[in-house]
Amino acid sequence: MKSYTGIIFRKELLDIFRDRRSIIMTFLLPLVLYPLMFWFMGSQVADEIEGPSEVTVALSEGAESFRELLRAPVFSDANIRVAEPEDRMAALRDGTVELVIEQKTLNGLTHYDLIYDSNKTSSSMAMNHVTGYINEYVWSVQADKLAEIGITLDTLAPLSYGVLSRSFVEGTEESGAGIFLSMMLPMLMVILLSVGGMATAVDLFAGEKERRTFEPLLCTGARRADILAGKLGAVTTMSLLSALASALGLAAGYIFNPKAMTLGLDDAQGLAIPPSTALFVLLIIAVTAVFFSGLHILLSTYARTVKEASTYGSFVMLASYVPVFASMTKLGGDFEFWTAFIPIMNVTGCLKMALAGISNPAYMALTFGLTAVFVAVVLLLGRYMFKKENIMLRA
Amino acid sequence: MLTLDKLTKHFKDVKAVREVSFTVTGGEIFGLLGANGAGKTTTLRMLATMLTPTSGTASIEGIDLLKQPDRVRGCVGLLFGGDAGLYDRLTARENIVYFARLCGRDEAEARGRADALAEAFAFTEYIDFPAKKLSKGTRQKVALARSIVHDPTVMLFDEPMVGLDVTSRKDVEDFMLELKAKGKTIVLSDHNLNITERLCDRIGILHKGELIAAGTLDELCRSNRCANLEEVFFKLAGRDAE
Repeated sequence: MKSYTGIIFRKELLDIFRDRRSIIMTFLLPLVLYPLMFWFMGSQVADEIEGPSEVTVALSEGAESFRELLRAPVFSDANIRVAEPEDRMAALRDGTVELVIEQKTLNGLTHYDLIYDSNKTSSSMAMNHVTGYINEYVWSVQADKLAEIGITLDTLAPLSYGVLSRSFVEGTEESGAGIFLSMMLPMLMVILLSVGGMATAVDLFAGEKERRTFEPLLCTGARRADILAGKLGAVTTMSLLSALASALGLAAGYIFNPKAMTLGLDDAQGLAIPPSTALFVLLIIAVTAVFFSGLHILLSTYARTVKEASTYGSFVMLASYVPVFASMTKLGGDFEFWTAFIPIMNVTGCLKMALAGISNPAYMALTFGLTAVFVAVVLLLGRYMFKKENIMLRA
Repeated sequence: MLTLDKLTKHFKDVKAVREVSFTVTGGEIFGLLGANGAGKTTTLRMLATMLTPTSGTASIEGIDLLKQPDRVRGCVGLLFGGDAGLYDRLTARENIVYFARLCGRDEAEARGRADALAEAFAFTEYIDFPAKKLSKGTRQKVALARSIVHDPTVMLFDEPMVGLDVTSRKDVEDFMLELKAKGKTIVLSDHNLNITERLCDRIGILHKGELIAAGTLDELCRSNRCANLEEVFFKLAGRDAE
């Protein structure tokens, strides 16, 4: 018997690409919004790491000696400015000063209390900035005093240590990708695969029921399996394109400003994914997209209206967040074999491994196989639902 | 020719259609009258193979709808009233061509059919307009064209005049008479007693899923001692029916 899957698939894509809202949600938002989001987040974190360019402090009465302290050579590049507001605490609250410094005597020593606004990042950063310089000053004075009696700081140290990183991935000196790529990109990819096809699935099934285009379609020569396959192809395509658009947006953002896109933490060292791993990952992404698309189709087929289908779709989205966020802080080398049995988390694991340059064929094969089984279950359920007239003609 | 043989449909405890039997020959319009929930749409949906009968069967041009539903679909055209059920983002032409392709026509043939039907229904100037930009009347014409694009021998109309203005209703009526003249078998389900009286050669009255009467208008009036179809309808189905 003739198959009409291709005709249905092409018509659905034509229909979707004429819908401005779908285009915006599927392509433009991932392409623009996510890079922008990371850009802003990255810029802020980078600022925090670099530290403030200038800190404004207010001295309480009796803390004038701090002014003298700032003349010490250690503070020469500290850029600490002393302001004199009428009400110091009000100035701290308003943000015109970042710190208020009070002075007292404690155990016979001059003691400074640095008061900062715990609700302001700028104030907290200023506190770290100033305490850093104070510590440096304390160490330098201690060193000078010890030197006067012929002792160096090194002779007081019981030991010394250094920190060196090593990656045990074949063929790479460093880990394949930076922390940002390993943590955020797989998470974002899986989330986009889970939501990328949702709007399309809702439109193509519950939307058709609501617009009453489903009934004439069921009366054509197309078998229900053809209709399901054609529409599944369209939903999966949209899901994959959405994830691709996001990856392209992030890549473009990274090329333009790597520091902002890596949240100022590190730069990716260059990806060194072996071809076989890359192929596995692509297969896993594809099969995951089919799985989520199938799931959205099931729910949308069951729903009477677009609104009902959107509500069900939101559950899928939220449910997929659980394994994704549970593995968010894990790096590629952290995934133990048993995690391959946990749906979605295993997909994240494969992506993180690939980005770290880790080749783990058994883990990836199991993930692919398990996801493929879920796809088969979803498709069988879909076929079953398409045969149930009380579901297909629910209104 | 269309033959229903004790066609029955139950939805759990609800007996939507109960052993309905009638025959409609080529060149005849058979009207199905009934209140909301009488079983009209369920009957048409079974004939269009969208629903499977609980018992009984029907045949279209001698093809049993239980045994060969795919072949039956090739012989049947179905038109719903109210919202025309078009793909709004597709043009009128694309809507028609899509359904022609799904009924087994190749691209060139489907496009040819779309052009010919647009000319026949006088919407050629709007054929490349997106469906959402068409007036209600033109949308219904496009839906009509779509329903006959595969040249079916049996046409099922489910309240096709709902929401149409006088001119558009006239167009649909003329179209049905044209189909009748071409020897097509037509079943019309409608609430409107005037339209049913005017267009239908024979009329069946469905009440709570049962075909309680069937015949020509004269036969129905005579056997029930009524002056017109309205009286017959209320006498048989009761005033609570409407």
